[in-house]
Amino acid sequence: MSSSEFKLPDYREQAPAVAARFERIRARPVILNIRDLKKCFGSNGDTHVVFDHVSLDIHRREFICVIGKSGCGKSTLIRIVAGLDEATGGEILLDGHAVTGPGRDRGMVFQGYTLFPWLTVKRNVMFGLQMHGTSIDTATSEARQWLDMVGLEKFENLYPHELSGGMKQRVAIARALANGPRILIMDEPFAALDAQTRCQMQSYLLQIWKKVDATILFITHDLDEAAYLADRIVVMGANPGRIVEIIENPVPRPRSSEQFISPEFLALKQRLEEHIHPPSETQPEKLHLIKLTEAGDEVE
Amino acid sequence: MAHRDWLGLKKELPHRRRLLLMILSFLVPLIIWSAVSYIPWLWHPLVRVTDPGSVDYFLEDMDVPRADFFHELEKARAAGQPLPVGHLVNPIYLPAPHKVLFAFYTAFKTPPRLPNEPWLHQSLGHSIRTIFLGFLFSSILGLPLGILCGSYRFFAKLQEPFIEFFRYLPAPAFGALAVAVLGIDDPPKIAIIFIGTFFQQVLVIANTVRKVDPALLEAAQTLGATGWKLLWRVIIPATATDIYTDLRILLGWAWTYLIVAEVVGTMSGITYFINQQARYRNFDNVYAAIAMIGIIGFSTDIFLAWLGTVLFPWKRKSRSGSKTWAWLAWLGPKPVVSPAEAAKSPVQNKSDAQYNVVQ
Repeated sequence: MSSSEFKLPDYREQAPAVAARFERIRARPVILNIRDLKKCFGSNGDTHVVFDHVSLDIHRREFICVIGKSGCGKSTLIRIVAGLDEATGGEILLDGHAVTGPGRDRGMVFQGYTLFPWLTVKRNVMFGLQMHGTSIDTATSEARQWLDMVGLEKFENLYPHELSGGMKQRVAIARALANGPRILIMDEPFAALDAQTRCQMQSYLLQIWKKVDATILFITHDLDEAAYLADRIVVMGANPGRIVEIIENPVPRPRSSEQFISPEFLALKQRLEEHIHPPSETQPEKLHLIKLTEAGDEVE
Repeated sequence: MAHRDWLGLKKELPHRRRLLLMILSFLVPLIIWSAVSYIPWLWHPLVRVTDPGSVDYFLEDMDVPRADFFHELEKARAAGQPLPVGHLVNPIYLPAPHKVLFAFYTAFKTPPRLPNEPWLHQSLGHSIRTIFLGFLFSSILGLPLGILCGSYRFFAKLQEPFIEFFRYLPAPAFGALAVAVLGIDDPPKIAIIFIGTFFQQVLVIANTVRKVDPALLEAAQTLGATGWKLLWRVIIPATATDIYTDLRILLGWAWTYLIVAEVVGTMSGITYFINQQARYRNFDNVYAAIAMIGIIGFSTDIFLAWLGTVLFPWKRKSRSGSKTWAWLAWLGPKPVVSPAEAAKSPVQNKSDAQYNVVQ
């Protein structure tokens, strides 16, 4: 690195520890199996293909990030996984069983705040448990444990509107996890938060994931977020939506924000940039500067 | 945050100013009324004769137009005969505030002229009972039906076209029919209020329920809620506050149907009282009775507003803020935006920022 040309390593190069980790992940059973999934909108006359030929295996306790430009159908994809939308073709297997509708085996954290405003924080976390007949006492003590996990045990009796955005999403994570899902689906959960809170939340999520046996399918459009969180990053392209590459993240765990400038991280990010913001082929012509001020005070 | 301007567009006013304006909103009409009543040169088109003098057709306590009185006065003066005496008054149908205020007291104290006639409080009680029963029956049917129509397309398509048609039929048109079927006493009156309220109620509530935030439903589904649980544990609580507001507005509508309902069959309740008092030309009592309807309606609404803050604690703006005036917020303009939509608006995020400190 003595030369002025900074040379990044290949993003596919993995340190031995990282390679061993991926070896272990591959050895784990597959939890979610997406097979040749296709989604179209519109009737037979005028159909718009959102995505096609999407196949993905997610192993147990794996952290998968899906990134892609808007319009590549990443949100539609996980809505189908969650059972909130129906696929046009292909199938999704969870533990070998086909997914037909929403269910508590797939917890979801949404981008918007979807806590129930009429329930206190604790009651929100208890909601899923009560839906399948857990007794109030058990549900309460379990909810407390999960609130403790996300560090909100002191706020259990507040209503959602009394919480900040970050706190709301932590409750939403606790609410989803309390249900004991096989897979936790997160649809750009931190996109609405300010940059600082988002960073905090990412670290929180990693801490929680370390403590909880959870498999996570995480949608984002934030490249740093994907590189910081994921084991594997699924890059989707648009028109029609498809998987263009599945990248094994070379950044070793445990992750920390210092790694943001590590060579592996930068190499990975460069690769993601190439996918998401490909250099345009034609150089834009020199644009005429629109003047907003009076003549006489021109600048270059 | 200094609140210097009173007219900030869509800006919230501090409590004291809100209260002041609220008092003023009642005070201004009262001042105008007082001015017209007590300042002679403002209106006072009549002269109350206290001494007829030489004018043969004048009687004591008779109200004659001002011009006629002065014409006769001039005539008497020219003829050198005794002059008529009188003072300027407003027409009898506009009593002065103090008379109406006094009537509030006397109306309750004065026994009815006829032995079978009800006292004012009995009339009022009767009216309140009619309204309450009409609204109760309407709500018992309309509330569940509205929620079902709002939640399931099946019920919406099955019910709403007919209801949409029926609500254009004016409730009073059913007066004769109601009397023929239900007799001349209270049942037809309750039926009129029912007809006037029910069909609007179903549509209004269905519409409110339809506006439930779909994201909340999806969240509940991913947590394992299905079918009736979704309706019972998500849709109903999510729309409860808006439904409650709808009911408050609808109750106001029910009051407007009351007067129509009470003339159906045998006239009863406050309408009977008002008509009877107008016949006796006790207009101060008429005003008192009309004002009484307003007072009852308004105080019911204030009570319901307060009850709302008890029933729906999550709607309180904050716990530390002055709770005493929290219900005042409910008096304000009824929300046009559903809370779900409001939750998405950037304003909500702004209030989030205040709580970042906690985090």
